Amino acid sequence: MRAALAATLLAVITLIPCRAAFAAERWDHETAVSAREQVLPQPDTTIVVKPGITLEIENFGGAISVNTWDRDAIKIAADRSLKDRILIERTGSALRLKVKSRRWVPGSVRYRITAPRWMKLELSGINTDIDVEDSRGEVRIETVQGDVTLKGCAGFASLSSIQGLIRVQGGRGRIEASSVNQAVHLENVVGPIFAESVNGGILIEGAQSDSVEASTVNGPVTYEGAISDAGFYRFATHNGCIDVAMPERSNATLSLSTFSGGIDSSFPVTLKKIKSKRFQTTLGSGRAKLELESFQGTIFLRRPNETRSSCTSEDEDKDEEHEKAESDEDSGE
Amino acid sequence: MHDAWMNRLSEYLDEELDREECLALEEHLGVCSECASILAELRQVRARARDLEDAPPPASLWTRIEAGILARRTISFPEGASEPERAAESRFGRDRRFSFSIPQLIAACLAVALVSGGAVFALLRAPRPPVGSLARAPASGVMDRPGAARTAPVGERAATPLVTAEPASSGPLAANTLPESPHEEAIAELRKALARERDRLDPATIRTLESNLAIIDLAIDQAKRALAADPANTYVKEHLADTMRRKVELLQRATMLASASSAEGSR
Repeated sequence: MRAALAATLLAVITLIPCRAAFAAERWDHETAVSAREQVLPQPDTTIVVKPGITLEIENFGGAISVNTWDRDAIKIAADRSLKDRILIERTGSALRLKVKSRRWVPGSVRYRITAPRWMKLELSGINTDIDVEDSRGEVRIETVQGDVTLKGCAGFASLSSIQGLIRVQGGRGRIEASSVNQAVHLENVVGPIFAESVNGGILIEGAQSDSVEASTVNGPVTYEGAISDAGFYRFATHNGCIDVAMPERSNATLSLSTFSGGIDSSFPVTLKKIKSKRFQTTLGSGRAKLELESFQGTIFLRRPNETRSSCTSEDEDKDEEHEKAESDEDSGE
Repeated sequence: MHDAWMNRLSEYLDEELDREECLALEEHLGVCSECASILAELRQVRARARDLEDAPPPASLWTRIEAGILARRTISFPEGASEPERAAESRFGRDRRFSFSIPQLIAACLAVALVSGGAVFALLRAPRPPVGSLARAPASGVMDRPGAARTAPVGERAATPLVTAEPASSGPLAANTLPESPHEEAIAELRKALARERDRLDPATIRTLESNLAIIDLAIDQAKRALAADPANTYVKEHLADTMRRKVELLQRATMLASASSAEGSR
């Protein structure tokens, strides 16, 4: 009798993990909804909010997409598993959305939010892509494995991802963008910029800013934008090139430093050696300050209409790989 | 002698030298323009650092860390508890004997099965390894130029575990510890903190962080070699300090992420 009981217990212990493993294979990483589970579109919920309220969302997997409107109300729509519930918590200063899961794994939700344009947003996730469009409030985004996209926003934005691309398209206000293992792309941003990565390139195009700092360890840094007379610009990388497109009639003092790289300008400049491997050149009145540093890459200077230097190829390759991986994931859904 | 003083400029600035050493160093500064120049640069760096504004951490950060700490705090004995109560309390879980009925045993087995199933489940549903090319060759062929200091492309180095100790500086590199010493201490502390929380992080995230720490380590190594070859190169000194700072920041970020995960898990 005892032997039979022991055998039964052993079978149960062995079979349950196998069953769980089988279910896990059918798990979809992107939506974190198993193939046999039904996705429940959350009925839209609209909540009136007072000015000054912050929207806080913590998500595990899936996505957060925020659009804005002129109403003082927030519309919450979400695709979620039947086993997950969305909790809406209201405090004096914040409206907080969380997922309560009835499983032993964290819930995964695709949020579609329409928020007041003025609303401050604090969005975070783990395996979560996050995008925000047309916001006029402060935006703080943190994700671990996911991309971050900001379009046409105005106001301070702090964007970070460990393993994801940071992309900002248009907008006005201070941008602080940081990725660890992917690139940072900023297009047509008006305002101070701080961008950094460790293993990814930095591409800044069409910027109008008098304060830009962009640095990475392994990747190129490309800047195409206005050079304001009173501006300060610093571009640095350890392993990659620096590619700066600027009008040759700019009023700027350029400090160029490299250890084992080179300097290549498409327009005539007179380099004055300041110290070993540190050079300076002055254009026009020299009012703006540019510091360009690459430990072992080439520093390129070119006119705005000239073809971008070939050093960006690795970054573009990486982006292509990233996009290909994303499309593979999508097709696998 | 010259190098010895150069390595102690930071201590001098921090007023950590005794009076005799101070006088000796000041005398040395009068005759050594190189040390005087480095001291002036260090003062500038310090002045610039002092002017920096501290960026406030996100409001939710401390709440998460605090929740994590509270969840794992040591429970103190109440003020009025008697000695025998304390003794009994401290023995709890150490000397106490348990016995179970058959249904309880079955329930326990089922619980074990569920936990192991959950573990397998969680393991298999972990995201894929990071997209990107940590093992890729870096951009351009500039590193292959004669005289380049690099020994291997960034990203080709094997990832080092987050918890390993920092390799000790040795040989000529040990002489160039001036700009990095404060960072080394911070790195050691952060590695310890991270080692305690490491298991809270997703394996894919750990892989990404380790790969990127390896990239930074290689950059630091290359900068150290460059500095050994050209000790007066101020750009390389600044670059080394900047790369060390970046490593500290990445470790801080990883630690905060692990703490936040820990706090989430305890809720």
